[in-house]
Order: sequence, then structure tokens, then C-alpha cells
Amino acid sequence: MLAQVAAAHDNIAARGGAAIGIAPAATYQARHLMETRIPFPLFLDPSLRVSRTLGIGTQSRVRYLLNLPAWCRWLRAFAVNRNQGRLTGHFSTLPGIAVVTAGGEVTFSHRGSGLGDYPPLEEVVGALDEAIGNRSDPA
Amino acid sequence: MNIAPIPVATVAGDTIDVGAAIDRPTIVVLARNYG
Repeated sequence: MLAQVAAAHDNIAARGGAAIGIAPAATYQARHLMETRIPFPLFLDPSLRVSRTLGIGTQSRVRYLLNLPAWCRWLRAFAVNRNQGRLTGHFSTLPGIAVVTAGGEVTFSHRGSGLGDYPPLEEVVGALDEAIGNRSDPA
Repeated sequence: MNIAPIPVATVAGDTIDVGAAIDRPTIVVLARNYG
């Protein structure tokens, strides 16, 4: 999802919005991404406080191993050479995405059920537009 | 729900509140990792 948001960053900025990324670990990877591919700030939250506050959090080992939709997404990504690189977080960490206003209020959030489970970018940009007060105009 | 006061670390090693990084409506991507 970071890559999708990065690709849409100019559009997001033109709408009056912004983007940030938060992950549990890997300062060196975050720095490398910011230097090469991701045009917005990336932060580290090793204690998952942001994730837990958003109700995203973690999954059990059993849920991780039996999460067939997540493994299917991994296989699809692997097939097009967009598989996940070196794991630096914990297997149990779940993905998610939110829209947050300048005051920190969360106006939209999605709790991923496993690897790669994000809503369509159009849905997120639509939520961003609502937070900005723009009329909806697909990204 | 408000996440502004939650501290996060920057790649420079500093700690800031998330709210300090959000000055307009913002998409926050919660990634499993940066790999």
C-alpha cells in the first residue's frame, strides 16, 4: 500500500491532503525508502501504540498460519515479483490504513485481516476528500 | 478517536507525537514492516 500511496502522492497533495507511513521497525529500511521511493515521512512505532489505538493491533500465530486469503495475496505478489522483502516486524502485526485530520481525529480506518489486506486506494482517497471537504473525484 | 498525542520515532532517532507530523488531512498507512 505504501507504493500505491506513493504513486498517488502528487494527486493526494493536489487535493490538499498528505500521507505518512508507520511501521514497527527497521529505521534503515524506512530511511532507504524515503531516499528512493516514498515521497512522504515514514515513522517507527515499535510498541504498536498507533496501531492498537486504531484497533488494528496483531493476530495470533494460528490465525496467521491459517489466513488463506493473506497467503493468496502473498502468492499473487510473489508471482509479479512484488513479494515482501526482509521481515523486520513481528509476524503477528496486522496492516491498516486511516485518514486523520490535523487535530489527530481519525475519520476513516481499515483493519487489515492479514498480509496485503488494504481497501482500494480510491476508497481511501474518497475518505480523504471527505475529511478535506472536497467533492468526490476519483484518484 | 484521536492519535495526535501518540509518540513515534523518526528515522533520525528523534521521538515526536504523531500529531506533529499531521498538519492537514492525512492518509496514515500502517505497514507491517518496511521490507
